[in-house]
Amino acid sequence: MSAHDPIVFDRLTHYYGRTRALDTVSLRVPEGSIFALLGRNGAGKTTALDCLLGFLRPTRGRALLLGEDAAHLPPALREKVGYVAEGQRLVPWMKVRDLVRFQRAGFRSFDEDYCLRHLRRLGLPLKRRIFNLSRGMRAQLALSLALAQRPELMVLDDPAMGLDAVVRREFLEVMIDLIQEEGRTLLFTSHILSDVERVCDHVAILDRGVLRIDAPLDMVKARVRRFHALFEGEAPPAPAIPGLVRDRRLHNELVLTVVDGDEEVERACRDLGARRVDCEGLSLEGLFIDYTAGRDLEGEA
Amino acid sequence: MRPIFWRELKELALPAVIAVLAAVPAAASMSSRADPEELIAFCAIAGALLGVVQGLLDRLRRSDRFVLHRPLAAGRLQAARTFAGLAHLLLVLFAYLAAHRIAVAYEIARQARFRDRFGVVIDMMNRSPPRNLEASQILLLAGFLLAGWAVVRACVGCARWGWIPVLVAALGLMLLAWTARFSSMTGAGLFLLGTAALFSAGGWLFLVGDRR
Repeated sequence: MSAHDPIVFDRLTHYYGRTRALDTVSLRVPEGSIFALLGRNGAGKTTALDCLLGFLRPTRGRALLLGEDAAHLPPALREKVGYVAEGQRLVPWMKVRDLVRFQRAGFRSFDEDYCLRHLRRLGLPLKRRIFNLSRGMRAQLALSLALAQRPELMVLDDPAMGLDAVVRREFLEVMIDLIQEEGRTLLFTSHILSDVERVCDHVAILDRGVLRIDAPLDMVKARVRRFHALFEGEAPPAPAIPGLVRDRRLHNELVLTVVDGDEEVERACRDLGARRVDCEGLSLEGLFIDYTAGRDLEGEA
Repeated sequence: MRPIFWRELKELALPAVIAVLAAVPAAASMSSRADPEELIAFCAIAGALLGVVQGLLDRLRRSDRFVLHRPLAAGRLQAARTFAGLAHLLLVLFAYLAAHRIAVAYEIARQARFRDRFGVVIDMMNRSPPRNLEASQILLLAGFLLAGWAVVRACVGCARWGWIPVLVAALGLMLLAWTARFSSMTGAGLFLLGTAALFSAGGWLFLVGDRR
């Protein structure tokens, strides 16, 4: 973490009326990283991005984008930030070619040749109107437009939403190639965890507005483990273990997800009478489910 | 700012064309009357309808992140939309006045022909001769068109504070109706233009500063 982190959330809190969407979220996105912001529906991901891009004013705290307070973003700074919004609505009645011109007129750094070349490579029909494009084509178009700004930073709000598996993979490959080519920082949200696991190096998980994890993916996967303790009869309630993320009782099996507690968990389970204790690493999906399904549990990676 | 202006102009084109098409027969049918009351009502309604459309678009725009993320200050973004709305209003007004003028010329020619043949009958009917609108009447019409648009747009475009914008719109429209009783058309026209400017500025401040 450095003072030059392009994105900083500093105790960011936002309420919609009386409903809390974000609760004192603090995190930093390191320069050059591919950062995934994850959470279930309504967890506060889009609200966090809206606060970051100045579309919403936080109730408390602040978000910094390339060192500027997001509540007072200078218009010129938007040139440096490529953004793909959820659903890629764009301008439905415009033709692809006209939309490229529309963007070129708005962004001084917009590279029209690059954009057109990229669209041709993807086989997007330039004369077709946006509402006649498939979801996949719209997603590719939105990404191409954002990249053609030559931004320092990309913010993508669930860019692969609604795409089928083939298009999604193609979209992600293009996205990663293009972003890594120039060492840009990327912050994105997604529900498709297998994709996230393939591409991201940092991960943050929001659960009902509360930040549960903010760490490099490798570190999270190395530190969070799931234990299966088998008992002769009915499994007892979970022991009090520091770093317990989630516990489940399945007949004679007690399943515990724990941060940094290998020996302690094994000892605690043996003390309860477990005849066997197995330990496994977690995929991002398993990790995500354990962190967001066990609502009332404490535990930080 | 220009691309936003053109985009808004295109998106408002359909309601404006409908308003123009409605204006032409209305103006033609009223050409022989000296009293501009119906014209006033028409202009206020046309303005209000365009205001509804643009107010709804304003609401949509606030969640249109594709446009919001452009490197353009919120004030300039809103100004571009306002200019596009004004351009359409001027188009409607121009179409209306042009249609009215043509209709008056036609009516004068028609009455002259009838007077040649049935002059006594025309005199007995005691109809006032058709005439073009005076500058003060045009100012009044423009005032109603603009004020109707500005009041309704500002209130429809405001997506907060519950029913308050609806009440403000109702009060604003009552104010417009009351203005029609002014004895001086020029005074009323100027008052209406002032009201339009006031509501436009209010709507502008609200939309520019609206981040929940």
